[in-house]
Amino acid sequence: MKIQTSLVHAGDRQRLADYTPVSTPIYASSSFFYDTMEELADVFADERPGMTYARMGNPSASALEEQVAMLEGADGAFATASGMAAVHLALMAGMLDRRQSIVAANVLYGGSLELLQTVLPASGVAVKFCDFCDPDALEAAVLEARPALLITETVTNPCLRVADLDRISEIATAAGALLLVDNTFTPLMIKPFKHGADMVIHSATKYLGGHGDVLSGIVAAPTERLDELRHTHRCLGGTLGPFESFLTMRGIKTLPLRMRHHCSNARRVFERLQDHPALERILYPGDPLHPDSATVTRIMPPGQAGGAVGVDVKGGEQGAFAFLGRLRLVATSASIGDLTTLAIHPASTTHRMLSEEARAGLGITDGLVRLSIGGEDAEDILADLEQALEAA
Amino acid sequence: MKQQTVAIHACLPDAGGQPFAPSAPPLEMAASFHYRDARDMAAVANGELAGFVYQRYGGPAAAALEKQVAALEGGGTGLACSSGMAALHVGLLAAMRDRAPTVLTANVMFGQTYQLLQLMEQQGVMARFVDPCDSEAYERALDRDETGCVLIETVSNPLLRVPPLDLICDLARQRGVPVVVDATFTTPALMRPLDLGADIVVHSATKYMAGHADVLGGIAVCRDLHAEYMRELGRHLGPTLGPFQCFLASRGVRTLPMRMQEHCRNALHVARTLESHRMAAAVCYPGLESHPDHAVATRLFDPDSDGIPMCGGMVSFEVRDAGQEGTFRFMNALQLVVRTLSLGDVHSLVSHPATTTHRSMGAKRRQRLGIRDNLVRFSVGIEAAEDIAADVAQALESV
Repeated sequence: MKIQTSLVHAGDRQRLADYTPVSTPIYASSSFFYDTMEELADVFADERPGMTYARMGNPSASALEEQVAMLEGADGAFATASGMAAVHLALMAGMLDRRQSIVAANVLYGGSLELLQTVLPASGVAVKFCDFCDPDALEAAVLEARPALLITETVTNPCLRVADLDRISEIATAAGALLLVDNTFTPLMIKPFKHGADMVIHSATKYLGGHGDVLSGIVAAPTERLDELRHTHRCLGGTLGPFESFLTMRGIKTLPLRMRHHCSNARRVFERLQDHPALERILYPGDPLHPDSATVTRIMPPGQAGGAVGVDVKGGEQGAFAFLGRLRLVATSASIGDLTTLAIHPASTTHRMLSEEARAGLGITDGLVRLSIGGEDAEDILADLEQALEAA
Repeated sequence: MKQQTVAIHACLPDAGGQPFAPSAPPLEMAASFHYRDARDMAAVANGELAGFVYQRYGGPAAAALEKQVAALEGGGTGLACSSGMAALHVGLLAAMRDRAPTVLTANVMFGQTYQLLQLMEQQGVMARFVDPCDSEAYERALDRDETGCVLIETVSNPLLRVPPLDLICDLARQRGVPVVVDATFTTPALMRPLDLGADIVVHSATKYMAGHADVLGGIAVCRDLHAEYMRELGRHLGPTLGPFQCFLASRGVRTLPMRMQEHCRNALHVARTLESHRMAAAVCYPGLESHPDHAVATRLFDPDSDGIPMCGGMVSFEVRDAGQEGTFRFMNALQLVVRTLSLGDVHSLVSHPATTTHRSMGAKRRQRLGIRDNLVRFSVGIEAAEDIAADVAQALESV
């Protein structure tokens, strides 16, 4: 055999011996090899389990999918290239062979709003928005739109309202619609399937990955949803790579520890800043005066209300930008759920596509800064926030 | 500058005012980028300032790959995607923006593409099918119905027909209909569809582009008209290609021109070997004079350094008088050549369309299109040509 041939093949496609790696390998392989064609054809015909081509499934992604299915109490999950790819996948699969109609919460992450406001309507999907914290309005909207599905976030971004999932799922079930729940802000804390969700979405870039080093998403679902998700996922091809699968999985191993710290740090921040003279108001689901306080008490674990805090800085956009400019430890960044405490100004970034009126209606004021409280020591976070507010 | 030079250099970052620059594109893992001044971040988010905010919007590794492939395609804007299917989906949506939701396409194509079109039917997209090599059929169809966009594979999968892309682009352009080209089988090393008048080129970068069977990825490249919406779709739908995959794809693209030349030469050698073997029938390779589209391929594809047109690395053939069983016997007897899916890898591989990539379309449709149970799709690698040919010959003997 010529060296040109040997160098392409030598070392590859070796069978694993009778040992098993303790952590799942990064399977950087686009396709998989079988001893015989019969085996490959059987896998393709779904007559035996196996891997064929990375878009159809990859062992690194499968391991992550199993881990998240366990986390959410689902029968299966599909890892995606981003949280938005997960939202897109869940929406498309949820509408498969059903009415191309969606009722969506009127406050959602800006990316989800854009998908629902621009791309999907251009493809002939009817989307109706309404306030999911108002059950009567939601019932009326569902009656009118007769949607295939409803979509909401457990804690809305950036206004931190908390959805009464049980009530919403009753409305969805009565209308024969599926309920899609984006649980990005509250993994572990809220188990949406226990409250009637049909699919659960995560931007795993946030708390699940948790280290600011990976973009990924996931859709978890019970058995009866898995076929339509699988088919849609293969067509749309929003596949998560093996490196990202590995990093996300690695992150989830410390999720319980990290969430405890995020939640207790956020509570400390709320408690210390709630009456701060430089703030117009503070948004925190654990605030006893929060409009959804009853729901929070019912569906979140005692003492935990997530890692996000909204601070409405006096002085509007100017005040908010000045505050952000003075932060030293806290970073201004578009993400959340990172070990690092992050701050963002939604009106000029994530929610800039909304009109000023729409933003005002939703409570996204020009002074609002969304804080994603990190895993640092609470005193260090507070010291930075306070020095930046004192100077205001 | 020649393609080989562009491929090697176009992914390298500028020194950016520093006295040094890295010798490889950056592998930045950051999901988001921190800003010292919130006003800068708002300006970047609004597109007023160049920069990175969040990886789904773009990152350094993706930007390097996009720049490199766009340069090879002769200019335009690139979008790296999590798979070839994702790039195709984005390309189709971008092309049909504010147009009739109809796709005029070939009656034989990659099985998953057909399934994607069926999925898009749920949102009212209608696909119409014509013989990919019959430009008059395209003309009739374009004149008969309102068309949102034309979708063509540069070489059809798996039967390796070569549509007259230049003529079809002219017809579509005269009528203002955008053309989306899946150029996975040819890559910019062989032809550049944008130069022929196509609007959006998509690739499964998993194949020749990355070339080493270690990346799942896709890329779409388009001219200015569709650029903004294409990138917007990338942000909204989120099929982002991760930095590792971008880096590996980019690293693969650096050797794309030299690999393609070897793939093409080896494929011609294998095709000729098969043609002279009694157990092989219906040998199909656009570089063979017996191929119905040989003249089109010679016209469209660039020549190699010896002046021979590069007709791709894919060969298909039938195992003579065999059914599925005899065909599997041939495939199972291969020692060097790998039995798997995919194509365009450095190693030679065979696949069986009827039970894999084209399984879902059903036996009837396969029969009508000529995808028979003894059809083998052969992706010829860059090993020494005689080693590949020897393995094929010994395996054919065992049928």
